Amino acid sequence: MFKRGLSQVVATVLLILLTLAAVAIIATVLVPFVKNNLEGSTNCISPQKRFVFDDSEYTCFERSSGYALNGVSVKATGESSAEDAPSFVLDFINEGSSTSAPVVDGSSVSLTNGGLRMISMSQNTLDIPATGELRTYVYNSTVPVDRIEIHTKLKGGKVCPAGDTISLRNRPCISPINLTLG
Amino acid sequence: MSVINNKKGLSPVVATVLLISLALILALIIFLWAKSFIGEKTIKFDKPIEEACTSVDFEAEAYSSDGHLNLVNRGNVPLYGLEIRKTGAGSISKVGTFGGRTIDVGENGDISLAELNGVSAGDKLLVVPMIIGEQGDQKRVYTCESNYGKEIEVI
Repeated sequence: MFKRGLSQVVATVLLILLTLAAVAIIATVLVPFVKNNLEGSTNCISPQKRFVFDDSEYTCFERSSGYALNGVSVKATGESSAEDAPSFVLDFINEGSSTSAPVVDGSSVSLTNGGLRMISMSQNTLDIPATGELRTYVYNSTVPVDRIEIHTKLKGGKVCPAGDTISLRNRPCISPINLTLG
Repeated sequence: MSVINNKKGLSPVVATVLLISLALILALIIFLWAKSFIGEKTIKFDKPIEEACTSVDFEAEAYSSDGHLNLVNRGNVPLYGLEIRKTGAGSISKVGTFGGRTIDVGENGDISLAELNGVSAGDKLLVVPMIIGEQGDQKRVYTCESNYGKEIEVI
């Protein structure tokens, strides 16, 4: 009877060492890797719906020769908090092209083409609604935009997928509603 | 032909116990992981607190002459407090939050308009009810959605 090969003791020791090595690799590499990627994919679940469009009469467009004003009302829901989701980005989409306008509390308004302002011309800075509040923003463009998307921006800087979308097509402002308040 | 009777290895009983243990440990790990994604609900009257807002009913009126916002609770839910929002052209802004002023069913309460930020005659206010529920062992204040609020004009 041949007795070549590993002895049972050596085989057991090798198996234990292999198991320990596998556990060490999983604990140091795989677990943090999976955890980081999971956090990245789940941290938008609640904040994504923090800011939504309000179907108000101020969500409409005004068209004049050479330019258009696009009004959009945004309200803050009870989802997430102002601390975790402090700002948002509005995407104005028209025939396949889009322009992003970040809305940050206290940033300056812009009256130029492609700029964003509050509905009240007297406000010099952009204002983010608190929970339960609503604000109307006006985007200046050459032609009315087709569609607007809203993306919550997390405090870490990550921009979430669109939480809401609204179409401005066939929504001209109806008198006495106008997007230039004093 | 010889039959080798190899008896080395795990017995079926030990193998079954090991498999069941592994399955239980895996189930526990998945349960604990998935639980972190589901937030604990705030409960009132054994239902999610959002449903209790449907039973809220109150009347409110505000007079600038006497400087008060008066309110009568006509629903089945005690009101823990109120959130007052001022509605304007294209904006709704919070002008005051009054928690801890419980108005029981059938009772009335009032808020001084002086406590509200920049409210005068002619302004439109949205009075939103706040109710209290339980989350585990803790009490939680919940502000109902704005559609359960009452829109009033300061006379």
